[in-house]
Amino acid sequence: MSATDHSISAGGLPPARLLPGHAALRRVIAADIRPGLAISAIFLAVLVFAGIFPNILAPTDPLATDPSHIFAAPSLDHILGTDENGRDVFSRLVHATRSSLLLGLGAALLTTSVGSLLGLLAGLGPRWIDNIVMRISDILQSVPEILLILVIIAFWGASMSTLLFGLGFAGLSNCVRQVRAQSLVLRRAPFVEAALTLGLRRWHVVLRHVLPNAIKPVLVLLPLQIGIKISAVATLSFLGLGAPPPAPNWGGMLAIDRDYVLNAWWVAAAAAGVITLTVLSIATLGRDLIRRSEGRR
Amino acid sequence: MKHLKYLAWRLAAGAFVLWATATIIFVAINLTPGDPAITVLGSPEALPTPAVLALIRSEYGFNEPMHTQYFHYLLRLLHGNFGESYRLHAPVAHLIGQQIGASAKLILGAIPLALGVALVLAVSTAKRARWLTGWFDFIEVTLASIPDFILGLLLLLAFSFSLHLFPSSSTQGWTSIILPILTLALPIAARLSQVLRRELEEILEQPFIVTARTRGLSDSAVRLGHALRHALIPTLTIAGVLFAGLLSQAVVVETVFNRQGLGRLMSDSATNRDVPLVLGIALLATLVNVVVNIIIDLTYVIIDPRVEK
Repeated sequence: MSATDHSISAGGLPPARLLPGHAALRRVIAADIRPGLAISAIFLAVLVFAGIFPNILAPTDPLATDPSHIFAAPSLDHILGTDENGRDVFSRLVHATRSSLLLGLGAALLTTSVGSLLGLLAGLGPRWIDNIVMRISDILQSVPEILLILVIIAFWGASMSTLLFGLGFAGLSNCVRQVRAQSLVLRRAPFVEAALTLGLRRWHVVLRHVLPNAIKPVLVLLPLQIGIKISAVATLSFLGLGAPPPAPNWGGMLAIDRDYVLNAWWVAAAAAGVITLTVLSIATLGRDLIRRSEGRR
Repeated sequence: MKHLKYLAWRLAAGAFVLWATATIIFVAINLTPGDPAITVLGSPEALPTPAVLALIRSEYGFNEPMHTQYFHYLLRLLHGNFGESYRLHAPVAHLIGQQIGASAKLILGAIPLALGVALVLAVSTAKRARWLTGWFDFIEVTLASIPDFILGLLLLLAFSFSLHLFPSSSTQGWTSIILPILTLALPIAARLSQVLRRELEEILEQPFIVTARTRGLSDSAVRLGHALRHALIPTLTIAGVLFAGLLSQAVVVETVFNRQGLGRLMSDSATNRDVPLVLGIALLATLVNVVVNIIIDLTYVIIDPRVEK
């Protein structure tokens, strides 16, 4: 529509001279990108870059200790100062990015995929499967998330796999419920009945027609999920239940002795700042996605 | 009669969840590969003496057939016997009893504060100027999405280390509980206020609100007397979920503020793999959750008489 308008007007008038950035700027305005959203996206892009190429951003070894520079204030050598072992805070933050993002992403994907599968089973399968799945989700929901993870850690010890497993379990019941509710509606939808009447195989209908529609609300919530998981990873690391000590992690950097906080605020401030910005950026992006999917402006 | 039947049904459903949780725990203990006595103790690194192992075996009856074990296990739980913490050398129920007061004070302080702040914020800012709601929305999203321990550290840094308004440790009088309560309450207030405002904004556009306004009611009378009641149901649903999770947050808050309490006990026990103690607290949290949900369901009937099944 707009393209034809353009060609008609361009035929009669001399071609307008646009600045190079003009078209891009117009597209940004048309896409309704708010400044907060742009900042969030840029920050997350930097974060992903730091996760993939930590050595380019921070060439200093995050594990190298320097006894003569314990708790050095931010300077040109150490732009965010050093911590209680004289390690470079900036470098530790950058090198901790990968594990934080991967754990958050992995746990969110685990929750979403297992939850969707169980939700589909409950919504489309026979009544008794529905009952079993829903009662399990009742039980999962009745134990607060962090406590559930602590139980799993108490049983099988703190390691990367138990952390991932525990984080994946937390929030599972919400996902199951959403997908189940969707698929209960969809199994009676005209297009699904039409597909079945046409003689398509059941699993084909489930995978091609029900699944894509049923998981839409869950997919829209995926960014928020990732944010929640990253925040949970940081919390567990803060409690001393994250990755083992020498490897840097965001939450662990805040678990330093509280007496240090007053004298060496940069250690805590830098880690708190990065975690806050990450979680906020993801929340901003996630909320925008929800807004768009609901057609609100 | 109808109410009683509903209540009975809810209680039965709650009892089922508790039974099922206990059963899953039983299965988990028995399915974990290796000696179940060692699983109960935490890990082989605990280096239990043969005497301790023998004690656990006889207490849990690991030599007996599975169904007898299961029956005895449920019976013990019914008697409030959650086993013994081998790390602290005391019965789990006793340890929980020692710590529950500190956590209860924290949680019972946070609930009314969170509700109050959310109500005031949402009722006073719903459907106001765009810039105003925009700012409050931003503050709420920030509060709701930053991890609790960061909020706690920030409050500690600002009000206790820099301004010296509140003590930083738990042993210095009643003022020491204010910052922990704030840390618990603010994120919950933020989440509730978001839900409540969204509901209120939808309701304030309904025809019956216009009717109330044309009757000459003041803006605050419309908001409090007519709109609020309708917005409360979805808010309470969320509140139930959030309140039931408060013990989870207490784990973090009690660590940040160096306080005693169930949360602290729970995270210490998880670190040291003190399985009986962790399971005892988790079962208690499940019980709290079940009770909170029943209370919330009963409140629906009071707020909206149409909700009757």
